[in-house]
Amino acid sequence: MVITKRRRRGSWLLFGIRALGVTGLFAFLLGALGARRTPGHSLRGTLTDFATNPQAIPTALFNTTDRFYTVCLWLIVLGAVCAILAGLALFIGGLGRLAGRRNVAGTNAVLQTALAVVLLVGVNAWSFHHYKRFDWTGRKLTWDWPYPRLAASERFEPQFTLPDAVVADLKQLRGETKVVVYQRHKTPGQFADKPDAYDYAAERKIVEKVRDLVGLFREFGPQFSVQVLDVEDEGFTRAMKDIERNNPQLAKAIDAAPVNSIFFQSTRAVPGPDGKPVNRESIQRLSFSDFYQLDKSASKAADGGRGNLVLLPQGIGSFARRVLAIEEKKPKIALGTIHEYLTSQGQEELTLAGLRKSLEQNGFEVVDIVLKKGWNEGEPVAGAVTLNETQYERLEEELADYDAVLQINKQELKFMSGLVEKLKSNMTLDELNRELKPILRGQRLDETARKRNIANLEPQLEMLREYMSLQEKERNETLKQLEAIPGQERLAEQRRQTDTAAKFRKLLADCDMVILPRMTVRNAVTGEVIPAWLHRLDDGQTLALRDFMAAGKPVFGLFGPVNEPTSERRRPGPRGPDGIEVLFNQLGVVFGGQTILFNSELKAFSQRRVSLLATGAEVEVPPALFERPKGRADVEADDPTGQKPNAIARSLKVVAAAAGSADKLEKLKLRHPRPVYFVPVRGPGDSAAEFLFADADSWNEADPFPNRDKTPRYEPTKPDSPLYGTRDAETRGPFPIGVAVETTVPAAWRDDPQPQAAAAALLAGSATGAAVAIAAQSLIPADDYARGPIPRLRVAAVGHGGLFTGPELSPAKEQFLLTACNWLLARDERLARDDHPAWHYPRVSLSGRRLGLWRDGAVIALPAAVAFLGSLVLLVRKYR
Amino acid sequence: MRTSLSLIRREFAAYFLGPLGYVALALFLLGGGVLFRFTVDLLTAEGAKGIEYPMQGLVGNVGFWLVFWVIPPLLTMRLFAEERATGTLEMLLTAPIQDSRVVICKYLACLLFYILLWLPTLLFLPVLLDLHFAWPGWSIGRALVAGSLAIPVGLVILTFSIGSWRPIGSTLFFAGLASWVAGIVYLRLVEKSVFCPITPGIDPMPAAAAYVGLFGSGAMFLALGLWVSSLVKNPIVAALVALAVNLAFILGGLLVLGGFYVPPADTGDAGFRVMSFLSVPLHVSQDFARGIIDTRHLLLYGSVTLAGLFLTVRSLERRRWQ
Repeated sequence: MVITKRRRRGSWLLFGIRALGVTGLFAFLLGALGARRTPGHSLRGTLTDFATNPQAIPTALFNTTDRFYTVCLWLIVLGAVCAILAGLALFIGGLGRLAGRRNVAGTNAVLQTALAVVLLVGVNAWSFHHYKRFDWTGRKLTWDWPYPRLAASERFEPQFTLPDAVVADLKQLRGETKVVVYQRHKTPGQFADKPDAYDYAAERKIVEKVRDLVGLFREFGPQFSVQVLDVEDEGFTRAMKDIERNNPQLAKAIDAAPVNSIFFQSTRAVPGPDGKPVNRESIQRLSFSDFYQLDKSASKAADGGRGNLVLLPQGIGSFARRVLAIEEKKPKIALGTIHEYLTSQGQEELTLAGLRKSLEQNGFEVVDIVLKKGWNEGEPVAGAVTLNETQYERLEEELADYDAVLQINKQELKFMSGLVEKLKSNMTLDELNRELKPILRGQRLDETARKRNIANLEPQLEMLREYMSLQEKERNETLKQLEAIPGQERLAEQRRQTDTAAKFRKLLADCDMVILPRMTVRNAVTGEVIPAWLHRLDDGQTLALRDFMAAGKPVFGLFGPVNEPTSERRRPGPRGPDGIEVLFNQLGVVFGGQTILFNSELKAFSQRRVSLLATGAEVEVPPALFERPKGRADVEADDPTGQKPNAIARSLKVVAAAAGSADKLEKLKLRHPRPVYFVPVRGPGDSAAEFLFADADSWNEADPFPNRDKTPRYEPTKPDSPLYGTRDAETRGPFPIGVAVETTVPAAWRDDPQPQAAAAALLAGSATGAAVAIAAQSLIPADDYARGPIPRLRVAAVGHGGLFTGPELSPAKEQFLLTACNWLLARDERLARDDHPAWHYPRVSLSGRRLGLWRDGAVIALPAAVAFLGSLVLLVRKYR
Repeated sequence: MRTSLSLIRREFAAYFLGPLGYVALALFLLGGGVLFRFTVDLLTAEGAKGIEYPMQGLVGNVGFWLVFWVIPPLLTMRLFAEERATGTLEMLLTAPIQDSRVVICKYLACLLFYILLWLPTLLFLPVLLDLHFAWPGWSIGRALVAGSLAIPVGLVILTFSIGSWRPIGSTLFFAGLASWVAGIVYLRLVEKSVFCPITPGIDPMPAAAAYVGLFGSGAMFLALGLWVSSLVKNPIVAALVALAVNLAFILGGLLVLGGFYVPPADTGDAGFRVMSFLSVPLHVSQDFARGIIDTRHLLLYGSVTLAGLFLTVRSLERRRWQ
């Protein structure tokens, strides 16, 4: 075939264009790779600049400061230009060919191909945003003749379908919610000192479940953005910096998270104090164990002891509820103690700092109220003072002391300066003696004495000046601390209020729950006690608490034993239950009058009789139990028939199972508790009231303190004693030491007799009688009868005042505290539960031989069978 | 219709007349067997080890996808490329059969072989799903259903035989079919029972979804391989180019499953979403093997399959016009 010159030139031209295009693309790639890795430069930023401001191109290309980067940019620009030019040239040439008559069919084919590609890309681009996901788990195939249909399976649950109620709620959510899954590899089994394989496996599986669930949430639309932070990832620090910049509160919350957690954060614009809108961040935290709880004891016992991973689902509802309630106010808990040292900012041994920290980390607000004042003026009296107030008072007094001292020093300085000035002046000795006669008191000043006095006084003056300067500095520090106390106006108002009961009532009105820790017996071996009578509340305070409870708000009483050593018993002071204990009695909670001692303490008591150095600090008592040990007779035991288990005990059992023990938390050990009984004065209730028990190896002792004459030991009450057969008789354990009751508010707490009495007095003075009473009732406002439904009330009491004392709470105590608080606040959905079917890995039971056959059969026999068949067929073909 | 069936039969039988089909089958079953063993070890493990979705152990593993990546190009490389190399393509194109029908018949043949590759894995299901068979004993209905064993025998005879054996094959096939239908009807209406009650100890629907996903993705890779095969002359080149094309749909998933690429912290990251949209291993391991059917994935497989077949037809037509 003759190839014309024109066709040869055309071929070279086409080759040149194609080579140019390919070279341009390659140059672009090289330039982009080099520019991307140049530190101090952002390729994306540069290209964006080029796109928005073409005049930036020559500047960047002729920038010689970073030659390597400049060369890369040149490669990018030239490569792009060449590729684009080549593409255009090919396109124009192709159009020319398409227009030719000889290529109608080819044109048609090209057009159809282009259309097909466009359709392919378009359809997939559309489906990227418009899609449906079908959950086939938990279904079965049935025949609804003639069509097959997927129906719900009886044996399996859907794994990727949200409940309808949750879906309906989530659809109403407005505004963007950020979900952050934070893995700090602190295991959900937080009670184990050393996390084991079960804890780590649980963490991995729960993370997977959390990711699946937030993936389901994402299906609701872009209002959910999800981020996963793993402390072991390289990009973690960068991701945290981004969060700190955009959401500082969230970053703080993440930093403070003690365990693996899921955070829900939303930002809303609210009007600020100056009227301008400010962004308010709302954050909720959920720990992994609030989503799935590891049941370690069931895990170890599963599959006939071979072990499996057993997780207890806590329900998707609690997860969704956190999202929906993201802006709900944090519950506020008041801690009522009698001294600043016992508050959450008190001294290390006696402080409730651990309690505050645990509550604040888990979404509660805490406020300290000091219930006694005047400790430095003899016997303390009733008070209702917040910590800020006591701090303010203390600082004010310090300031006043500084001012008084400075005043005195100023006067002294003035006097001494004047004296030195006179001594140094040109006054004669006679004039000086006349002037300083009151000071000299009959003595005469001569020249030597004059010089000596100047030499003595000048350094003293200097020291005084220095001392005053120091005092000024300290005074200013104190003033700064005083001014830094928040809510000064409110504090001033509170301090003006002298009516303790009214003040207490006002402080409580802001709170959702009260905890009353009454630490009493710290160490029975050494006789270290805080006398119970010091904790007594007065009538006004009791009434305030009664009204608080009458409104349906819960109280958590931690009342230690009331027994005292002999030396304390001689001190004057009221004894017996105070008003708050009487209120508890009215709800059926009865406190025993003894201290529970354990057999393991006997040795320490004996040692103490012999040596005062024996303190019993090393004694280990058995952990508290959530279920009364079987087989012991108790006085007035609860009738268990028909009653549901106590909610707190049930939840704590689930938590304890995570630690590997079903009925106790090994670290929850209470020394010297007090019995707390439930007497069903208002009916037995739906569920068991007693939820915490001291071990059976114990007894109740009325005099638990050893002395020279006596060591506490078990001596059963004799039959002829009046205490015999009663609750107060000395018997062996177990004893209930924790009670949680849900009941209605007693009518007596709600019906204030004041209006009736006032009306009666108005009518007939001091006269009484049925007619007067009826007439008095007619004066009572009608809406006084229409009080509405009777509020329900939850209270809990534990017979140990120091349960939550200390700078840090152990995981067991923290879990106990949170469970109790959530139950008391009727946040039952936050209690650990085991009513959903447990999750575990599927297992197949195969005997040794069958297992071996399956394993070898799959790997060897099947491929060998195919190879055999193939060999046969090929042999047959060969020989045919 | 006869021509089409004949073409399908010829192409399907060709896999068994040379070593290629057996090699592909053996390799595939060897890889599958190793992964099955690994999965069984997890299903019978002690302690905190285990696997929640057994099919994930089988098809969510990077090893499986390395093998799977190779299989479709192996099956499709000779379909057109070998015919071009040997010169038989022109004869085929001049036969009284449309190009589109040729393409579809070849495609169906390799698709049938692909299905045959997966059939032996059904033997793993009694273990993977912890199936418990409660065999109630023989009855008339069950005997009739058992007669359906004649179907595969008849199919094999029809596929591989010629001449006088064909009627025997047809008879066996249709007799088996009739026996099966009669047995089902008898069991349902007269005995009011099923052939053999099977109770799964593990949810079987994720396995069903996994097979749906594997069928769809396999169909897509086969269509792409067929198209590549129609473009080149050399079967080896066809296989290599098909491997490169398939890599676009596999590489991201291989990197994630193999742990070489850690997904970004922000799960809504646009780049990662696009990558997972295209990554077939992630579709199968994260969705299908766990019982989730996502229309995005099915639409991707279906659209690319149709596009691949369309492009193959166009490629043949372009050749016809050259």
